[in-house]
Amino acid sequence: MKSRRNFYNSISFRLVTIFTSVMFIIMIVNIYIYLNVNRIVDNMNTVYDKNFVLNNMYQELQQIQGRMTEYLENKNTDVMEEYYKHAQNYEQYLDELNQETVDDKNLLMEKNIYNISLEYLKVTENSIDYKRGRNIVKYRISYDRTTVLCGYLLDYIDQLNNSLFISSSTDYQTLMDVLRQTQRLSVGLLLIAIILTIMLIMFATNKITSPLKKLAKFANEIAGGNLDIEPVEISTKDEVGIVTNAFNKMLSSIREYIEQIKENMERERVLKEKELLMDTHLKEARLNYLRAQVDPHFLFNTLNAGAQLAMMEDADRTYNYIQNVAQFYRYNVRNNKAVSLKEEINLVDNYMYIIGVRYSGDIHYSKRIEEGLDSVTVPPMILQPIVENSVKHGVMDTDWQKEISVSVWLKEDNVYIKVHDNGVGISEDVIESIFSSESAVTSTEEDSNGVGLKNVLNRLRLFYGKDDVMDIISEGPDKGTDIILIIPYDDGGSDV
Amino acid sequence: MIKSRYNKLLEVLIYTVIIILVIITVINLVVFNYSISDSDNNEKKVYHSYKYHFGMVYSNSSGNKWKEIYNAANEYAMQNDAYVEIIGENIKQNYSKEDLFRIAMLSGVDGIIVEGDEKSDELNILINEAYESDIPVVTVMTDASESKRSSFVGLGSYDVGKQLGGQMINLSKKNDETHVMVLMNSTNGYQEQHTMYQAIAESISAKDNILVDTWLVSNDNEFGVDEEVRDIILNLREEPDIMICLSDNITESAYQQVVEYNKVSSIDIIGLASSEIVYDAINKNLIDGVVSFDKKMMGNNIVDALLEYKNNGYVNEYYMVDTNLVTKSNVGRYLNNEE
Repeated sequence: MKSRRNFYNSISFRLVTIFTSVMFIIMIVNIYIYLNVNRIVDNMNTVYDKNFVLNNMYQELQQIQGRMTEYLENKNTDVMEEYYKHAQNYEQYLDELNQETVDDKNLLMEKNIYNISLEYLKVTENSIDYKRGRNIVKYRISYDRTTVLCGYLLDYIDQLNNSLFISSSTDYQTLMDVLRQTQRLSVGLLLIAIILTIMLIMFATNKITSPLKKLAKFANEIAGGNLDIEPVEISTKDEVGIVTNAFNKMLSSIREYIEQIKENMERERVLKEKELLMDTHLKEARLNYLRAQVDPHFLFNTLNAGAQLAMMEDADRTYNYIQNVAQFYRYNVRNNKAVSLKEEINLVDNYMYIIGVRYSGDIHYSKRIEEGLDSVTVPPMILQPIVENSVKHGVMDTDWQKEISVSVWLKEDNVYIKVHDNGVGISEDVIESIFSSESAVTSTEEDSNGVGLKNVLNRLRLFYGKDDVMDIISEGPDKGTDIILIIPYDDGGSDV
Repeated sequence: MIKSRYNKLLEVLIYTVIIILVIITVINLVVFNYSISDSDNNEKKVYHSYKYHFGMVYSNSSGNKWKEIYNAANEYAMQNDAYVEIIGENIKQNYSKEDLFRIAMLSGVDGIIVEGDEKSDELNILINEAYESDIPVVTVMTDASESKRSSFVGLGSYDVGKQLGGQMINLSKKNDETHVMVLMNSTNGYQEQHTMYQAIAESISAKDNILVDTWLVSNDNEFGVDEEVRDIILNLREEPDIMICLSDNITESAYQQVVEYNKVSSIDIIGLASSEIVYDAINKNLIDGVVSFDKKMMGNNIVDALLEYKNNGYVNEYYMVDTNLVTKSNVGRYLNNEE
């Protein structure tokens, strides 16, 4: 059904239809003219038919009269045969004459000729019979009568012939005029048909080429780089319409493709930026860390030497202390991109031991880690700065029992790491400033004593590619602080 | 935008031209078709056929009057399923009335209308032959009373004579002697003219001052009549005051000669005629009065007579046609609507 509709809409169908119609019109006109010319020519041929008949009748009549006279003179049978032959011919011509009373003078003359002729033939026949019967008196009277009748007939035929010739000439002239008119009409009609054809071709060509030109113009614009153009209007359902449709689809595909490429580039750019930012933060964290240390290797070796010395002097507590300090700093010298949660907690343990020694065990440190969550991979240096923050800004200046606890649990595919202190708490403003988009780099100076919360927050966000990685809960002054890290549970399988 | 408007305009133009061309073509074809069928009609005229074919025979010399009688008769005949033909109308040969009558019979007509001739025995015989062949013959204007003609359609000659006589008395001088010349045809219609003359003579029986002479015009052809009338005007010892012409050809001839020889003031003409020329002359006071007859009535009577005979086998022997005296006072009626 559709293909049939397409066929009717196609250019080829339209062209074929137009040319067929034009040819059909020309053909019809020509046939019409041809038939009429034939009719006229036929009429022209019959115009002088009657004259022909009358001429023949005239001659036959003379022959009849002549042969009859000849027979009456010498009774020759050959002559009589000839007489009969001519009489027969004459009778045949008579049949072509009008025999009715009509309102036309020529036709009435025909009727008169017909009737006189019948009488004439009868009288000639009688004359011959009388001659045969040797009835001299009667054949003489008959003969005289034939002469009179023949005279009437010859006159009548002659007159009718003339009269018909005049009217036939008029008819002939009329037919000639019509024939000439036909010629003019034929030329005129052909000219009209030619003009019509040219018009139709112009029309059809214009119909076909104008959308093509439009399409070409649009294509040129696109080639010039302008993709922001309206789709080409489809005015026809033919092949040009199909091409235009395809062109519009192509235009829209190109647009989509370019859009996709742009998106990909954007995504890649964001990724790169993220990676760079990660590196920057890590470097910043390390720089901040190292800022406080001078030649850590020397420090390790020195601390190790101190530990050896303490062991030899059986000073176990000193040994442990120095050992912990050495481990604490060694951790920071490592250059890992990701570490296990266990290592982070170990670092916190080291830190809390050092702090415990330093502040004579004033701070009560506890941890509760759900089984199996040790191996969760996390970015390095995320837990120790939080704990350090809790010590320095949370519990340090309190005069009640200082408590810091770390707990890790799994909930709905997320690992929750909570650092709790019962210190002075954090004001809403500070919490807000931590979560604000202000760069961590700029805020590092505020955290003069190490890596800040903001740095941790930013790195977690970059690392996991989501915003919701940290929560800070403080119910008010002296009500302590809970800092909760929320990281996706990966079971330590992923090597970030 | 401009381009699309141009395209639209082109489209409209093309449509307009196409429509105009198609209209021209159709008009041409219609005109062409009309002329073609017109030429066909020329070829195949539709004729009406009639039941009866009547032939009319008259001598060539009485030309125009007979043509008018023929037209009236044929018009009436065609309304009654008959057609009247002037026998030998187009034949160049100058056939005699008798020959034409013979041709009419041979042509198998259903009836013959003939200008009778009392003097022609041949015509009488032919009329009788026609009667024997069951072809009715109606004599017109002049009778052939001796023959077996079926009917005669003519004028009441006596009445005509009375009308002419009356007009003659009107024109005659009151006290002085008035010389009247009555011109008659010697060749044809003698009987009728004689009756007219008698009526004229009767009408002046009480007038002593009117002297009436007769002149028989022996020539039948137009020039002969002219010549004889000229002789009367120029060569008679006493020029007539009034000329009474008892046939239309003499009336026309007398009028022409009087005008030609400047005798209009001295000779009054009255006669028997009904042609346009004569009416015109009456209007100009060149002719003083004519008796004319109703040609339509004559045509109708002729055809009625023939049809009655064809239908019933018998017919009135005489049909009289009304006559009127046409003078200056009433000629306008005849000029406008020639009867």
